[in-house]
Amino acid sequence: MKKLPWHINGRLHVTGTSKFIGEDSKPEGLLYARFLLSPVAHATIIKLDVSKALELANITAVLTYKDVPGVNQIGHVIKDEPLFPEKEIMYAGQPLAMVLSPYPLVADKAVKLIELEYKELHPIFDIDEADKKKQWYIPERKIENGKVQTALKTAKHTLSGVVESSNQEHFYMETQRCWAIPGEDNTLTLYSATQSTMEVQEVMSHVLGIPANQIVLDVRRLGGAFGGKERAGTLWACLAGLGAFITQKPVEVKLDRVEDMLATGKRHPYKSRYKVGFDDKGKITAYDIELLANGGAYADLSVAILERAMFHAENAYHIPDICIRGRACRTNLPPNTAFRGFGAPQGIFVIEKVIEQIAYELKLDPLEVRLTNLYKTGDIAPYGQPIKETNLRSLFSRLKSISDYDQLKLSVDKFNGHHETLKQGIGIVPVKFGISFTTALLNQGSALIWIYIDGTVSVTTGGIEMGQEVNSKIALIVAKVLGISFDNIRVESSNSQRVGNASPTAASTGSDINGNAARVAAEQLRERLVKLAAELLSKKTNKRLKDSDILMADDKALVKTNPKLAVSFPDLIRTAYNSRIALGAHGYYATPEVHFDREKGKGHPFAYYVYGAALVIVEIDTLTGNSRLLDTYIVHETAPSLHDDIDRGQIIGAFIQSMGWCTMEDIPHDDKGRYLALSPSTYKIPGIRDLPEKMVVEMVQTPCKQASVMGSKAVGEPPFIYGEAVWFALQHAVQAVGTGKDLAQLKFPATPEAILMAIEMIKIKSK
Amino acid sequence: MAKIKFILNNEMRTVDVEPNETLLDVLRDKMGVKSPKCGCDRGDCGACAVMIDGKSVRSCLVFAIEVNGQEVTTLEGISQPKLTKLQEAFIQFNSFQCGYCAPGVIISATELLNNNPHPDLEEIKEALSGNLCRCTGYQPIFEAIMDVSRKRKK
Repeated sequence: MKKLPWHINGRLHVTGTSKFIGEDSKPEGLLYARFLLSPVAHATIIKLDVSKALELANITAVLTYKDVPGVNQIGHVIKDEPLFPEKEIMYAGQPLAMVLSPYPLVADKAVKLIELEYKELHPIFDIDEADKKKQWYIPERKIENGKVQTALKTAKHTLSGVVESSNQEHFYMETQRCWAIPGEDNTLTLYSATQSTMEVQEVMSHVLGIPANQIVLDVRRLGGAFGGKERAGTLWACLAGLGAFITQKPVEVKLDRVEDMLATGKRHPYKSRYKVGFDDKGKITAYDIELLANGGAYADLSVAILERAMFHAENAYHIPDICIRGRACRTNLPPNTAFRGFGAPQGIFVIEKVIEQIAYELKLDPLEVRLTNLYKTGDIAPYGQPIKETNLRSLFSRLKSISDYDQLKLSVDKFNGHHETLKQGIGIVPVKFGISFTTALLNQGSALIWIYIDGTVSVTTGGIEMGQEVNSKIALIVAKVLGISFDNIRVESSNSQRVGNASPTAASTGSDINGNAARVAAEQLRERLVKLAAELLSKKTNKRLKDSDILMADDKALVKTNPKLAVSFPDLIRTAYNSRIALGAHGYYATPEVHFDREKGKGHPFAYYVYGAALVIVEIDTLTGNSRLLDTYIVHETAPSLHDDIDRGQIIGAFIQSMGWCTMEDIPHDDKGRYLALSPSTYKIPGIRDLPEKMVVEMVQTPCKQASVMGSKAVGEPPFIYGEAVWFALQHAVQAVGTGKDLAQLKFPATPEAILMAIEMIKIKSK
Repeated sequence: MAKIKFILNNEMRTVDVEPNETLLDVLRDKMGVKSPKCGCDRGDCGACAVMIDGKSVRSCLVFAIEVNGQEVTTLEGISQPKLTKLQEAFIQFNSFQCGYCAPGVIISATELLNNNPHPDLEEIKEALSGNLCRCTGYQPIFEAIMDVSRKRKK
């Protein structure tokens, strides 16, 4: 039987009564925003005349960069992104002007009356072209250990190659949106679909030229985000805020799906060049890797994402001599942005492909090559962080055992021998995922808890609920610390007045940071309550009780040695209030031990690592290129989980999302830089038919020294890596088509077309 | 503008609609029924599914004027007076994460179970293939429906 309580808002979700942004009663006088989006990727604006649009009846305002009262700048770390472009259009879909009207259809009409003239400039879409032209946001980054060039020269074998991975649309079910409501004294409240209340507040204050304390952010929940609202929501929130500030009327910005897919950034495509040296057993002795990111028109989070790609360039493998270089390149696509994994999937894909290449060259089982190279406790990562504890080897043994690997291999070989048109393949990928924001200062969080007079509890943290159930975890933590039932706890919207300066809910750290802050706040309250309970219960016994004699559990404070001697939580709270004991607490948490020196490329960027491994079996139809996921086995380390089902949900959800990236999600653009797949009819995300026939997920819950809140480990992003196993399995299935002389050249993503092309190539070469 | 009359969640309602207004927009903006969500606005994602005379349809593809005289049921109507076995199973199996797709998914699954108390794997996939979910990877949705079906057998 299930023991734990469920999703804190589960009842609301299944009855359709949970409220997303813009679902409260409409504020009076609400204006709808519509945008003129750039039709081309790169151009100089010659004329942007809004006068005809303004002449239309019922148009409240038409705003451009000229209407920005503060600074026309929404760049955060690197200040290179205007709210509206002034002279130079940088990507197709870039908002150039905003129409506001109480009638959306009228606003649509007005957009068409805006006169735009421009002169097209040469757009850059290709990573290599951008790189050659030195279109970098910052100079090259480097992480180096040992002497890679020397090691390459002395290596028994060497290989080199190019590896590419492509973009991915977030496809959060709820598109970008914001309600901005003006208040008294030039204040502004933003109900924004953002993962980062602090960033929107800070950027908005610059744009409007008003202090941060006049801007309130309130986020109850998001209909999915996956990184796509960490930074990309800021533009739309600031546009709503600008409209509300100028007109002094509430404004709704809500992108439709086509606009959202056209105008917002995606996961970064990467192109990487490597040289690798290895011995006869496949042990990698040298790895020289250059990661190039297609960052899009503005820096956004590209540099931080590149950094994480570099930190994961060696994945789960110890490589003594290694040089990792990275450059994030500016192109004329919408600014690519955070997406679950934040560069790590791109970095890891390269080394995993290299491993496969090595196994192919040496005619070894790729699993054996992986085992040969795995990190051991005591090894040191290229950037100097020691691997203090790793169970990678035992995770692999477990994976082999639950998948019955040796038997499985035989049966796949047998199947491939017997079938002409159907071929199967096995793919394996491990993960070592570093947890913490690599920008160390972001690793802090706050929580505010109130216990009300009836003993019910209200908790606010900086954590944004977006389906990862951070609120459920926070409620569980507070319930545990105070010894009260989950049902008595409400986790409130993330509101900048209750918890200010909140770091984005991102980098898998939502529960670690905000959960720990809530724990700290709850512990302060518990300390006060335990002291009071000791006094109260002492009176009921002839013994002077110490604080340590008291246990908070089962909705009461009780004496450990005599549980019948107890005071109920509501009674204790009432007495505390009457005794003038503070029933509110603010908790603060900063992740210890995280730092990184970007100049030297050395430091301790992560609080800890999450490990795991996945094995999948696929089947392809060599006549059509269609593929099927047969069995999936995942062994994933959660350490003692705060909630098994939530974590299992994250593991499966991430795996399927990543499988989408690796196999079916393809969003090409035309020669004007306009994305062409702008709805789910043309952009295929996994559907229920794409589920594997069998899915075994084993969570390893052994306590770890290196973990976070209440011994648990972060879970949001690491399992995303497992989807790459599907790509490798497909490559093996394609490989089985030919004589095995040439390595299958499968493109990314492995769509049916890509599979078919790879098969045809193999067939041609085999002739 | 035309006045239409239809049963919405067991209640007779009238509302003025423009001929080009979709059922989704009318439900959400004029009738205060927010459970059907707009995910794509072109019938591909299933987040706006409602039932018309017991059949699940994409409310973004139906003009409001078409439901005159018919019976429309949204998730709000299904939940009265208490949760169905399917809704309970959705909570128990964590069959949603962000919750945005849940109303549409539950409508599709309810229609399935109304017509077919014991669907097999293929039938579940067929019935749910028009509902996109970006969070869960579908496995827990599958498990919840299977669970309801299994318990009915007893």
